[in-house]
Amino acid sequence: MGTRVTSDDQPHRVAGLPPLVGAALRAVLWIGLGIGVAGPDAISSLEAQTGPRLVTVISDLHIGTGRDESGAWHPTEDFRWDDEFALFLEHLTALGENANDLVLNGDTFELSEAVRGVDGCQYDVPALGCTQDEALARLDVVLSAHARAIDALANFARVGSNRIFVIPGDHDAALMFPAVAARAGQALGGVEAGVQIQMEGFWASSDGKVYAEHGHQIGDRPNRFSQWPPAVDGSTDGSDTRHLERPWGIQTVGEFFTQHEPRYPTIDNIAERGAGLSYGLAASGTARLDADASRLLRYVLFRMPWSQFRVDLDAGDVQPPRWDLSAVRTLGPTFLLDSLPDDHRFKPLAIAAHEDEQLDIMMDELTDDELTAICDYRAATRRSRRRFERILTQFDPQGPVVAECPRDPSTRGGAFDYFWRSRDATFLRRLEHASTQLPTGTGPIAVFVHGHTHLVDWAQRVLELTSQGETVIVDGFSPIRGALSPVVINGGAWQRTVTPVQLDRLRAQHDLTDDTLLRTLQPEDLAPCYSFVQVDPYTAAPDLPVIRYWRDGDDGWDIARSCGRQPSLGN
Amino acid sequence: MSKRRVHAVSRAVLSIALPAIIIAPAYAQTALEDGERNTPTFTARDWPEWRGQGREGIWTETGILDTFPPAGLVVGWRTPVRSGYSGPAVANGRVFITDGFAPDPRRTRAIERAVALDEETGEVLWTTEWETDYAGLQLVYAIGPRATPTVDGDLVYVLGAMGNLLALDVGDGHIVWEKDYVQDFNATVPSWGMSGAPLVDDDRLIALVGGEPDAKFMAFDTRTGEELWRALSSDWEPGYSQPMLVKAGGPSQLIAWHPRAISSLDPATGTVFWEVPHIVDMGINPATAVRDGHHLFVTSQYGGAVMMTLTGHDANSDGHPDASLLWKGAGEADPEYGTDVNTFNSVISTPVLDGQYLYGLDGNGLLRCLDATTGERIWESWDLIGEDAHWATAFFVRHGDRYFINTDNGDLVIAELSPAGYTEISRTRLIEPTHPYVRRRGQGPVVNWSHPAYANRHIVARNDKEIIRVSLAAAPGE
Repeated sequence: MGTRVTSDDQPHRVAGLPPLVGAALRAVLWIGLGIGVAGPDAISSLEAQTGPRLVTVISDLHIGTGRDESGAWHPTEDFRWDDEFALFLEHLTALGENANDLVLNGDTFELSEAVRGVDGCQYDVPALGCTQDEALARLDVVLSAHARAIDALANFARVGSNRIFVIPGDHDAALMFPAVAARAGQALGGVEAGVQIQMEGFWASSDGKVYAEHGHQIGDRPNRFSQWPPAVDGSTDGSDTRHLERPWGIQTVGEFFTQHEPRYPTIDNIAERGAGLSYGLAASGTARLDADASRLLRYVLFRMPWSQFRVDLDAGDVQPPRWDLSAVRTLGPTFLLDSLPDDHRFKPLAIAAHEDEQLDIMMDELTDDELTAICDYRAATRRSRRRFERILTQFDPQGPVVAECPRDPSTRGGAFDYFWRSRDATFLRRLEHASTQLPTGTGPIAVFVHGHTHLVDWAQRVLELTSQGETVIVDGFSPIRGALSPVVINGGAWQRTVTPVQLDRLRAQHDLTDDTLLRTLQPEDLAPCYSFVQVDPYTAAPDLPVIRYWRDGDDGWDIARSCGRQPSLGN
Repeated sequence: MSKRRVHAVSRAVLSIALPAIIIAPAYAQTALEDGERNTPTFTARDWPEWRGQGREGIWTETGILDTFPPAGLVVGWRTPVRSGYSGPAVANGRVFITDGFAPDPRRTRAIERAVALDEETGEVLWTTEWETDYAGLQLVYAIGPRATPTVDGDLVYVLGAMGNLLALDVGDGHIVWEKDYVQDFNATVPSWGMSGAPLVDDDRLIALVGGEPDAKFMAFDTRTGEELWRALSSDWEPGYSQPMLVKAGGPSQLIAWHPRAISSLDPATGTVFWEVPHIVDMGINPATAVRDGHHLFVTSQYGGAVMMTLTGHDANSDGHPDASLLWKGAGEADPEYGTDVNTFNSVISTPVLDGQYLYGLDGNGLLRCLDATTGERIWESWDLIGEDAHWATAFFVRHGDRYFINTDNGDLVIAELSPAGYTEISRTRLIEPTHPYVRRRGQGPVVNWSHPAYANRHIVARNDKEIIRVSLAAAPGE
């Protein structure tokens, strides 16, 4: 039986310009439009003047359409926190002593959804997204609807030597259009104020040791662009008009959220973000899926957040088990069904899809690596539920367990086996790719920051380096066993979020159905805390990154190590 | 990796004349009547299982010293052993211990052993070895077996960290029968290994197995190993506690504390009498349940304190024993943790339930006294452990109206525990702590987490290098 291995990020040519030519052209346009590309020398000369800088990485603000005609927030508006954001930026300015590097790590703007009063971006070919003009129209609405937040960013950029770097994400990939980038950059203050739109699709510190990208291109994610960057080299409609590519995830899952958000206002606040799909389908009473069933199941099974479990308490010596993949393949589609615990919201739909014979081909398409990833996931969730992992947020730690995949008999026995090799492999591949993007003579990457999932890494991981006789608290993880570098860290979202565990707790507390809870729960009911990543100023090498929260605590707004709040209904 | 068992037995000269005056045998009775205390008719006794006869942590011998000599205790004998957490068992002139070592420190393969020593001289009488593999354990703690041997007549039952259960002949150590929890019962070894010392009840050996299906607890024929019954789902981990037997106005009950509930089973059949639901996050429940009268108490790091009331069979319409939750205190999993002082969340230490009062260590070494009926804090003290120490541990053994306490820094303490407070009578260094430990402590990253045996006016203790026997007899003439 052959083995197919999917590559993590193989840029392939689509209709349009070759990547390198396109990049050069963008650089020219960028400079011509006054945006500019500050090279490493310019950046390092600034740091020579200001000294080491505080790096703060925030993501997934999804600043969107704003309020409707009545003055109420539009139901699809997720960013309702302009005042809190302004306060945060003031605090950050003081914290970094006016020498801040603020990295907006993707999905700063919500440009993938329709905005009020602006039509467009809908075509017969689902993969065709906005044109540049359509994206500009959306951006203008967003900028005007959130003048407070935009002004706060501009004010931040003007203070001292503060800088802002804006990395496009999947929901604001339209920033790859030069005119859109120019408009956004100018609104924030422009190059002269230290604002840069990262047309490369990532940001790295001048020494290449801190790296940030949004995260939608990592692993088998449905919101991947076929080429990143430049996404603007997407499919055309046969004319000379360039369209932004519209990945399958935004077509299907994004549309689902847009359709259901008026009824379920927090459906896309569930962290991680894709969990809202399962909750929404279950709440709406959807009994069967259409032809997209296998793709949706794949989406559910391969979402990266399943890998956001705590780091094992081992010194890198514990090995992963070997799964008997031959035995797994003989199980057929029931293997896929058994990979979901019985209380998973998507399971009834998966069962129905199996009855409709929609899953048969999916098993044949799965590679050995993908089967291993599913088996690792099953083992991790099984163990977490069997030992009531107290820090789980992705699902109730007390619930039905799934069975492990058949093991090679020689690797049976331990509950403390290592189940995160697929995660490690995915991020190692991405780190390798990221390293190739760095300017010559910089790196290696010590801190890799991403977002996209909205699920913040738990800030109590412990790495016990017994070989060195020390215990280290690490926010995030290292894909290299037993190492402290590089560290991969997910800062969550600068958004109000709710985890499945919190949702289930609210549902039980108020004795509600999923439908009633999701109709009732408003974004304002969610805990007023916003997570992000910070890297302290450094000279030779960065310290471990940390997760922090901007939260409304007992003594007012401050930056804290934890959220410390729970969502509640009817705030 | 196949587990080839290496069976090595070394025979001592069995013609060694055993003392003409045989040290009094251990109790045959394993369960106490309601409210009964151990009141032996003889002055010396063995320590044949975890926390002594009946697993109650009570030492009743007389002729024991009042305070430790200023110059310290004199070690009667020392014998090198390998590493492990298991405490010694003492019976019929022999000391039994288990240990382990890794032939190649870079690999997880290990050799575990049961060792029998002469109680008077410390001479090794025999050893029995078996191969195992610690892959799947948190390796910093993968140093050897955890469970104290259980002696019953001519058999001693030992349990390895990965679920190797062996019934050995006390005379020469040959294997009478054996089980492998993983291979035989599809158990998954939890993160910190198999810890539940098997319990003898008549002709049944009751063990915490974690097997599937529905074999969290199992009973085997003591002589043959034949499976007699199995009970409770293994959809969750087995935990780390020790099964024990109680009687509370009705039939004997097997108290099976596991991470989802405190369950009471009929030890004869495995039938569930009652359950009090109680989740212990991470499955961490090493402390043993303690009982006094109609009160049954458990404590854990994440679950906090749980006090139950046992009711006799008359109170239950179907004639079975029953229990109900009386009160509960916060553990680390509860929002009130850190502010609720009417609790203690012992990580490893088994607490003391003495009539109307509870004594036990909080997770950081704070010794607390609680009202057993209400959970209200009476007092607290740092004086036993002496520092704010994460996961601080101490083993409490009652001796009359005082307690012998082994702290995890290697001290032996004599103290009084009363609602008036903690009164330290005497303290001495007993044994060097050697167990690896990942938190910083005053004495460095090592502790001693092995429960000693108190037998025949001696204390027998071990670390990862040696096992020692020290006299605690009062001075001649006293």
